[in-house]
Amino acid sequence: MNNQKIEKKRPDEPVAPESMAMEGLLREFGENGTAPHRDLIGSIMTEARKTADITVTTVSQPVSVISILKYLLPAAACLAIMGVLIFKSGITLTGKVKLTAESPCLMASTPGGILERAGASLAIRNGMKVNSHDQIKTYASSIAYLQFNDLSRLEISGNSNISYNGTAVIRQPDNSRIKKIDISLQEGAIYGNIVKTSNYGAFTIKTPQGKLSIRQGKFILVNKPNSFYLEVISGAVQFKADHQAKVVKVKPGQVCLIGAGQTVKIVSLNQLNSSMLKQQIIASRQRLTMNESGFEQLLLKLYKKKKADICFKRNKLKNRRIFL
Amino acid sequence: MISITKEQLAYFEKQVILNHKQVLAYALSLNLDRHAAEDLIQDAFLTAFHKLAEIDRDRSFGAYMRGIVRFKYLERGRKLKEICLGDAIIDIVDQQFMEWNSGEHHRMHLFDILEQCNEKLTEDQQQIIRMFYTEKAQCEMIAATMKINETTVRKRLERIRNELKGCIKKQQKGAR
Repeated sequence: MNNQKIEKKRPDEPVAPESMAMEGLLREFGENGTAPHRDLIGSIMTEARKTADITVTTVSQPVSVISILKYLLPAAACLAIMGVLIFKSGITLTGKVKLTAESPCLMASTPGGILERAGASLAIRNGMKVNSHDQIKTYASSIAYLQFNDLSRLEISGNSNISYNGTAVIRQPDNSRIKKIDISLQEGAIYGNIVKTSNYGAFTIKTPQGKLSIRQGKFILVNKPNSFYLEVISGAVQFKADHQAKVVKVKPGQVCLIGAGQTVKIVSLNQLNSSMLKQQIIASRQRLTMNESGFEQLLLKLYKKKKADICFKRNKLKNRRIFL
Repeated sequence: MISITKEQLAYFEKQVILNHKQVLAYALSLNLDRHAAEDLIQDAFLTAFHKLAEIDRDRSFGAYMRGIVRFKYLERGRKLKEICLGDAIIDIVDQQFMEWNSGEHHRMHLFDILEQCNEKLTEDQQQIIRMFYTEKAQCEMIAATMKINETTVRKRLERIRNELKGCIKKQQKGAR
């Protein structure tokens, strides 16, 4: 019997989603057992070698210890000076913010996610610039960081779907104009750390349940099936439910919930009766809120790989230009 | 043409040897036929090779590869206008592979554990596995050979998969 014909029929055998991983494992086990797939390894490595220029470090003639030291010592001294400079300056987020919150860029942990732009899907790369109307979808167990130029940032949890709608200019009663950053969270969870910038209004985040706006502060917004809540850690967040005219202000330590009958409730985190919800809130906080030193480490790592420079273009951090 | 060092090439080769079977199993889990799965993972490994300098070696290479395979799978589906599995189902598959890889040392032995678990099955169960996955017989043919109903074969297959899954979990737990 022709193998190809059987293989084509095989995917039609119904398998429960929970067993699909096992099915794949068994299909490979059935074909090759525990032995490595030599042909596959060979073809991958051949193709890889074809596209690579392999640098081999070779010593063509005997080199004396003194001549090695002659080159190594100045190099070591340079490295030591650079090390001290980096240690002294570091990458700190407490620098003077010069830029507006425009031009966010994206970073993500593995397995990352997808950025949908004008009908095309792109895998999220670190340092990727996000344009207006881009949609970000994260895979389960990954976290994406939407970093704005003014150092505001959003941490997007796995299995989230978020759109960046760009900025909108709002005319004030005194005829002055301010800008607003517009984001939509269709599904998932986000942690926001918003920095107040003088020429910007508020971040507005639309959800199917309502709209929240924040000028400065930290918060967690969770919008999942059968679970919607907003926890404010610092600052203040205004929330307006779609079906209500009243705008509610959520303060630090408070949680805004949408209960049965679409009623908006504001409760203190300490007063929460439902232990399950409280545990859920604490778990979200542990998973999402990366502390500043952790985030600094991440930036430093990306900076070393020259992948996050776009995120901090022209930003002056700790009175020196770190990113070119 | 990308420029890489000999050390980077050796690292990549080691990761291909360590991960290729599991990455292939992951691609096969996404309902692809073997040829498509092999092409897809070859393409995925080459993508990883071109981004070798950016790879974070502290993180799981397998998880990184699964991310690429997932993206390429969806891209292929769009290009060929084929219906792909939904994100929710792929997440379930991903989660299972992540559990199997939770300890670094288990990754290379996963197929050995599966072999041990397979040996613990009854003779009938082993025969079904052999006929279905190795000889690639259809359920109809297995049913006729074993003189049982076709539906029973499907039910038994599902039960065997669950048993093997449980066995792997138990073995890995015991090894930790």
